[in-house]
Amino acid sequence: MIYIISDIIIGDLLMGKVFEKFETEVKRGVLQLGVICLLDKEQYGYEIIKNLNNVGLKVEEGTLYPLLRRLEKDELLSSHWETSGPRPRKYYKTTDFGKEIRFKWLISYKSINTAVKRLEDNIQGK
Amino acid sequence: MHNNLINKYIKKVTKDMGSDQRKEVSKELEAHILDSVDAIAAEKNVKVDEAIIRKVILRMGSAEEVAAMYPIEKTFSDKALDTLKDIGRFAIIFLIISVIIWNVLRIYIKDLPFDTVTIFIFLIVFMILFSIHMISRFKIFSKYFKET
Repeated sequence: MIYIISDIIIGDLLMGKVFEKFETEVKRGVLQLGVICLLDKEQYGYEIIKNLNNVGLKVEEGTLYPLLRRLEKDELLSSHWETSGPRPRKYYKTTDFGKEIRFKWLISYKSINTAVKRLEDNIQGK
Repeated sequence: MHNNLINKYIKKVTKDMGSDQRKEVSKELEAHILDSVDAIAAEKNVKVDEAIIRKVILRMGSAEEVAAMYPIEKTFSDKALDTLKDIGRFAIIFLIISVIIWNVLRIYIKDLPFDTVTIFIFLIVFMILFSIHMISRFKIFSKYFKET
């Protein structure tokens, strides 16, 4: 009996871990696409997190800022500091280069989606 | 207020960054944490307290993990400073070890031919050799130029 219970518990833990790992890996790419789609109008970090959450893309807060920095370094985003508000804020916006890349990323993302859909349809006994 | 907690967290995240990046990232993360803290306090209709700040920091994720996600952006002076620190660290270790060895030897051998000046000269020779070694093996460069 104890073996069965411990098996279930260990199984659940493992399932959670495996699921999380997959989700983190997939999300990394999707998040870049999400940010670059969102930022046609300039926004600051806190707003970006809220807006991504609103469309159903849950972002771990600490993850977004390094990602914004990477995208900015690759010149997909531009930024400027706004100091007139209650506290200084860094606003980000998608650059023209970012928009070009976005177009390509969307195509690539959609083709991946279609492929997964086909694979899902082929799963037997679904 | 409770800014100590926030500063501690931000310091941990920006510990290994170059000075320009550290300044900007600190300012941005601080604004984010304060925005989140204010939003939670307003939502609950309470004053900002330590529990709320702890909650927001927890939500940010571990400082080490966040730090690891940032790209490495170091200027030449940052790299030079890092190299100097490395050399300094080795010099201190060398000094401590040589003083220990010197004192142990002194117990067994009378009239040692070394004194403090000798150790100091050894240290300088060691530092020069070590610097040349590090530069010639490109250790400094590969360490600070690594792309993640």
